[in-house]
Amino acid sequence: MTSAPAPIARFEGVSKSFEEVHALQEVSFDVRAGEVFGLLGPNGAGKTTALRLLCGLIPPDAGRVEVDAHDVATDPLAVRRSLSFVPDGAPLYANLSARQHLMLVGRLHGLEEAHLAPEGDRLLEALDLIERADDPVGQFSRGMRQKVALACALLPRPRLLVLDEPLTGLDAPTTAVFKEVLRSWASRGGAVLYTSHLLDVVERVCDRMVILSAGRRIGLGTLEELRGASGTDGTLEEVFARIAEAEDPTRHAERLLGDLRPK
Amino acid sequence: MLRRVRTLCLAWLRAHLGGELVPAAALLAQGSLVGVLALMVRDDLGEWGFALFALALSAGLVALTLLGEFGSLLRRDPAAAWSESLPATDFERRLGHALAVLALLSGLSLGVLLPAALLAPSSMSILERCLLLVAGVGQALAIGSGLLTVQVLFGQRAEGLLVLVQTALVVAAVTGLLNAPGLAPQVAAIETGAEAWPAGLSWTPPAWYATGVAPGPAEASLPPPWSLVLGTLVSLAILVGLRPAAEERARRSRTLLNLVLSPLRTLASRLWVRRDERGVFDLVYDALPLERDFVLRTYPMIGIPLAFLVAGADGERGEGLEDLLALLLFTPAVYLPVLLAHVPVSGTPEARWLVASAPISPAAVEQGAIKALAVRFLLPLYLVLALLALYFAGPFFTLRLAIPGALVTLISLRLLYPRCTLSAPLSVAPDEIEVRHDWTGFLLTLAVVLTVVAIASQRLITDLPRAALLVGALVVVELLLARAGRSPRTAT
Repeated sequence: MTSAPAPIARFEGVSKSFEEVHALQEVSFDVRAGEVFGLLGPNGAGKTTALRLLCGLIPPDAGRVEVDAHDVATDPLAVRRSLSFVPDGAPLYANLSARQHLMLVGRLHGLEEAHLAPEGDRLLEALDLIERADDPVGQFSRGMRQKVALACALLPRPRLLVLDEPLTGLDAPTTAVFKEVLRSWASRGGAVLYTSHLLDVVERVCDRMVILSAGRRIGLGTLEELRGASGTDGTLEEVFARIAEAEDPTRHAERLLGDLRPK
Repeated sequence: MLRRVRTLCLAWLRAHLGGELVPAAALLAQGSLVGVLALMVRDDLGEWGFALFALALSAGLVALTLLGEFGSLLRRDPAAAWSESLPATDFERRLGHALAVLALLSGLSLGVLLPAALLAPSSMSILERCLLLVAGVGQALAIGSGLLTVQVLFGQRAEGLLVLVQTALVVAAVTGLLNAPGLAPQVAAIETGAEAWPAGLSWTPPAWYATGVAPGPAEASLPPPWSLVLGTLVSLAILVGLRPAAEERARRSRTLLNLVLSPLRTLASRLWVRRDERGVFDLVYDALPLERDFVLRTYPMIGIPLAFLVAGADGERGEGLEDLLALLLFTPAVYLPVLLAHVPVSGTPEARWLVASAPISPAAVEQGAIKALAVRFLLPLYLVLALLALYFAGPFFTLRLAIPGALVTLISLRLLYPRCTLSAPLSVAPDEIEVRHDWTGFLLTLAVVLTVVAIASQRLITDLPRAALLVGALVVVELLLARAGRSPRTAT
């Protein structure tokens, strides 16, 4: 019998509130080396708060968050050396070029100067951005900015990739490439934690997932385990709806439209 | 139609005033200033002279506000793509925007001129006081439409011109404020004909609009009052007719200054900037000068020390200028709080994750930013000041005081950064920037301290050995402060 790989990231009874709003309540889960881990939940479930806690951008009110055995609260710099984070929408500085962003991230992570430029260019080349490497990213489409952000995330070779909605706004071929990158990063010994509303993609890419609702953990495990817990044998979308006790979409749509009719 | 125009107008006003419909703080500050000056000059001037004086102050203050705080009113609606899809005609949208600009300009102008009208000379009738307020609104409209025309004509390339215009306005406003009480007798002499009419005055809007309040001097060549009504109507038509230029999405960093500074930057990167500071150093050096709001809000303020030079130079050259040049070399730090408060400005503040999630300490962020500001802003400033000193006072003076002056400013930068820069570089939207200093307290104290340092240095550092000693002492202070700045702090 083989034991599970050591966790790279761990949430232990983590709670976080913003004034009266309980964003997370006693949430626990871990992300292991070699896996793609999905963080799912409806809007306002606490996903982004969880990611910000993980990166040490905000401290937890209670509980413990660890990355690579470093406590986020006491050693945030060691935590940030182990992970790369890309927030939703991949916002970048409009006036800086793709190449300048890569140099910036490389230097912030203290990478060797000699390694920076060639590795950055290799990534841009592979993402079909080398021709526009010196253009300000403010002139780029959302998909191109996502590519630059992914290159920035990969450059420091993090143990843990943390991506918030990385596939939103990408065309089909790029989405396929991104999915393969996530899987390959895990198969090379890293770990990927990502949030997405595209449940069909999560179903195909993620090894395990946690489902949050109103700041609470309501599901954790592989798709099979979640199917078992929800008592349904359907797709992740159906499992998710059952676990999150979401209203039937048809009824919800009827309620939303009410008496509204086109003119 | 009227309902849609009114809705659009209110939406514009609310968007630009952050939810408030009356910019009370700005009005109070400007009104108080004009009130004090009006009290000082009211007994020296007649009706036309007082109107000219008040309208000139109003012109400067309204133009400064319009180019700075309320500059977005002259730019394109950032939500244009959405608002243009709404069922309102193009004319309704333009009218709504023009009315919003008109309302704001009227408010600003009245806020400035109401105290002046109340404190006007007793010889001014109620009608003339009311006409002063109306003339102020007309003048504000002419200024607004003029600036909008500049924006539209130059489109995305207007920034350099705008910075120049704004710097000239700062110089004019500060020089005017410094000399305002002394100018009153001169205006009185022109008004009574004791002094010849200056030809340049015929080209200034305050002189035109003052004739709408009271008749000017007999020999003055000024437009008739009816042409002011026509001019105001044309200004309104311009506001309705011209569409503000679209915001530039992104700009390149290839400028002549970058090219000139490139070797110095490389040298600083290798010898001065530590490895963990390099990322933030590059970010501040490359991206901050490209932030439009940073440029428009901070660059023109260099006009403050320039205004002191203009006010004090008075055609002198040589030894008479040395005290003034010493002041110029030691007092640029007065400008630092303005610069430092805007270091967090960014049009894309959401990109702050790049620094926030990186494995570097707050101390490294601070040190990287300080060094970038020193190389990108202080170094070229001191190169220019050293050239000025060389031209006006010769090489001995320059060698004696330029390097100590630069070191005092660098030390001030280190001391002021934690106090004035309240967030990480390029992490805050322009409208949310927090400024925690005021002109009467902190900045005035700083100016007094630096002036004392400048005068003491000019008096005591009379030869090169003393200058070398002072430089040595300042370098030691700088190194000690740099070391203290690198000491570990709690990471956030």
